[in-house]
Amino acid sequence: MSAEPLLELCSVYKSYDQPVLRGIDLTVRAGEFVTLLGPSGCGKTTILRIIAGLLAPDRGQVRLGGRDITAAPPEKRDVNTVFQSYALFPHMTVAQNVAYALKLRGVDRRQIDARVTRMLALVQMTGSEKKKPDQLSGGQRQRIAIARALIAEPKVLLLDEPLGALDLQLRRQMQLELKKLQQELGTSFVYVTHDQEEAINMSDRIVVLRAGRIEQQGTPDEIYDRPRTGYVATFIGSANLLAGQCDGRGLAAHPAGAMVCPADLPAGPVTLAVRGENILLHTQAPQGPSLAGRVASKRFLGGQLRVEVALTGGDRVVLLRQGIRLEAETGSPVWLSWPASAAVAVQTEGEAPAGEAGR
Amino acid sequence: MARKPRLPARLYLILVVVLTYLPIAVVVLFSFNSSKLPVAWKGFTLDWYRQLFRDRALMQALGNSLLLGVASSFFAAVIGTLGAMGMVRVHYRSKGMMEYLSTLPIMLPEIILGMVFMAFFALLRLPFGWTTLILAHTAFSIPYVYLMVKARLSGIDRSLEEAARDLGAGPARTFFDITLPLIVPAVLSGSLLAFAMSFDDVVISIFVTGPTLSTLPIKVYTHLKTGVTPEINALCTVILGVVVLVLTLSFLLRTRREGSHPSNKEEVP
Amino acid sequence: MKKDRSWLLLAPMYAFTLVFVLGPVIYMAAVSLAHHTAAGFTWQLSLENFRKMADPVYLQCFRQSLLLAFLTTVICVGVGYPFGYIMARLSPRGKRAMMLLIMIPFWTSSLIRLYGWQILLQARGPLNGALLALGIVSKPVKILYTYPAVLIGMVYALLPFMQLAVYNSVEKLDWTLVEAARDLGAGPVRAFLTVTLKLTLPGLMSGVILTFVPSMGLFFISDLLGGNKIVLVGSLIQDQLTRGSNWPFAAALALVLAVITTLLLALYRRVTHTAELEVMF
Repeated sequence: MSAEPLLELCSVYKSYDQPVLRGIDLTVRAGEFVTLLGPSGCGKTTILRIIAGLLAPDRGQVRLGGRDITAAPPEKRDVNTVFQSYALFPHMTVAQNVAYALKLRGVDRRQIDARVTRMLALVQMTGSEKKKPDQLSGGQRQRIAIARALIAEPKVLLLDEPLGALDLQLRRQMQLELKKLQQELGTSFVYVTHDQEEAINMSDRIVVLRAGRIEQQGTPDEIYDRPRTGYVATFIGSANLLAGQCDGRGLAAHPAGAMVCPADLPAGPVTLAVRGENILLHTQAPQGPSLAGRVASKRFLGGQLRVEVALTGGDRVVLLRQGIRLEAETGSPVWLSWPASAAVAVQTEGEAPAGEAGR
Repeated sequence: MARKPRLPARLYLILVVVLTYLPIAVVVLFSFNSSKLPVAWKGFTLDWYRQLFRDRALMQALGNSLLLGVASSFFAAVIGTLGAMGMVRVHYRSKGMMEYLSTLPIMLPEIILGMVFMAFFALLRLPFGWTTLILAHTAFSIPYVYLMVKARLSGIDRSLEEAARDLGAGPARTFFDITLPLIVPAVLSGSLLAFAMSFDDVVISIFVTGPTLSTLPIKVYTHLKTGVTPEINALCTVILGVVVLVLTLSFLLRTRREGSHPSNKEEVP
Repeated sequence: MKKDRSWLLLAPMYAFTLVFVLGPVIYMAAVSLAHHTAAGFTWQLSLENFRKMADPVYLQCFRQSLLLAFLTTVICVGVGYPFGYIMARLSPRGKRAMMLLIMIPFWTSSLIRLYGWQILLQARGPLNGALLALGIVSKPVKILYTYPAVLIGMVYALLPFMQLAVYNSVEKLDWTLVEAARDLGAGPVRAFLTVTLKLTLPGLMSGVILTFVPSMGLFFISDLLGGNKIVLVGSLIQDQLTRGSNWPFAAALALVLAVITTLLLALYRRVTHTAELEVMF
């Protein structure tokens, strides 16, 4: 991965009746797999369409390989898209669909055939050349859509929630295949999804979007371990947000007791995000800082034990454990603590940002 | 899913269909009847057909009708298709009103249309004959093509055209490679329908044609009013044959070419 | 991205429509206000044509037309609704076959079909022949050139509109709703009345209007099957134009007819909540 940005969005704004994008600054480097993650309506698809040229920004620039392409029409951009609905041309065969981009560029017949064959092999669809899209299953169509978009070797491939229409099993399989494909080809991928699982499994970098703005971006580790806002913390994985008063020396006061927090945090009100799998449960009050409460419920969900604890003072905390046994009964008093590294200070609505600045 | 209709229900369908074809069958039958009067069956003959093809005036009228049909459906196809494409993409506020006006010809009773065209053409001092016939026929043919193409267009996934642009096709190329092939069945269907309507038209043609120019339906109508000759049966059978052919073609076109992308709105062949 | 070119696409249709549809209509409205003279008409604005229409003779004509249109529609509903309903439940192949079967007579020249009815219904025609042979009647029944003949002709010409409208509507029906009603305890009749009928009502209504509207203008049916006894608005207009050369009056009649038609069509759009006519197709 070179350090030179391949694709840049600078201060991109877009509104319809309401603002959709409020100042997006994004860079994608060569060979990177970047995911735009966020709920519907956050603007991620809009960003994609602006990159592709299907939509013009109200303000801002799009640069590819250093060149300003903001005004360039989609056919002149070295960027290709895999559409959510696949958009395979129904009146063309698979081979014709895949070959289309090359045909437009005037590549000669034999070269086209060779490259189409290679591409189909790459997406494991060899032998389907003469079929029509309506004869393929959803997963198969998706592969053809990918093949069609990659054959012209674009600098960046845009993918708009491509796995959304597939069933779980197939989705998981495709996640692996897509990642492999990207690494093999070395093409930059900009991937749009609302599914955090996909984002974490495939991305080199995740950009979390919210209401038209970038909330945070970083590697999956960074996003997961060091969320900067409550939104990011709860969007990926499950996190508990606890408000307390920090004393500036690694401890924060809470109605239910005391919490360990990052040592470098200044004194003052703070919201800590702690992931359920990092919380330790004690059946007796431990030595260090802890929060007291009662076990409210325990449920086996998604392969893990989900324990809900009602803290003194009203807050509820969710713990995640392996296995199905819990050492405490429902209703019995328990104490919760966690290692210092597990707590991250996050910004919630209206608060000043906490933690490291910069991207 | 709904239960398949039982026998009594199916019989009802067949009964109605039979009744519908009864008069047609009668005409066809009697065209082969060697009796002059369509009263009783006297024997098989092709005399009336021979007489028909020898009747210069009728043949001329047939030719006129065919030419008129082709010409008006062609113009209607061009104007209607362009119009449908424009309407689907653009959002002027005058859209609704314009669509209403364009489709008015098929909604107003023909007598009014005929009268109105006649008056207007007279005002413009247009020569009554081919010009006025083609203009009038095109006017009432446009809606058929327009509505069919529009229905088809709105059923097409917009992202298909976007995908073409994305892959490198300019707007013109996108139209020819993607849009056009997908709407061709609708254009053809609409045109065939327009042809059938033009071929069948009596009322409007009577009003806007010139003194010497006659179309087939006009001839038939006058014959029916003044005195029936057995040739008429033969003539009607021929017209029937043409229409059946045209319709079956239209039908086949629609069910064949878009097997993969049927749109809910298309029910008519 | 594509805004520039699109107006070009629309231009031919706009131009043609404005000149050859709107133009004539406006002209006709203007003529209806003109004054009829022996030589043609002069541009003396007057409402005399509209006043003339209030004459009992002409009102009777309108009434007749409306009555005929109404009767036609009722019969079309009675015959057409069951037809469309049953047809919508056939297999896909059955549907297509039936569709083709309906369309052929529909697009066949209406003249041919009327002529066929003329033959069938005449005093010495096959129908009477059959009735006599079966001993149902002892003398040929006069059917042709009577009101029932005209009615048959009208129903015959307009039935397909009803069939198609109902078919389109029933075809899109979500049958699971009917099943749900049955599951909850409704008998077949009850389920039909409360679910199916209600949900296909828009289709039925559009069929009604698509039947009613043209029936007011079909004059040659009454001409051919009714002889001169039955005068409808359509024939009246034609008469005025050809024999009387009374353009202003004819224009006024046409205008009133057009207004009635437009109102009914507006009603159609309201009832079916469709701004599009594609349902016809």
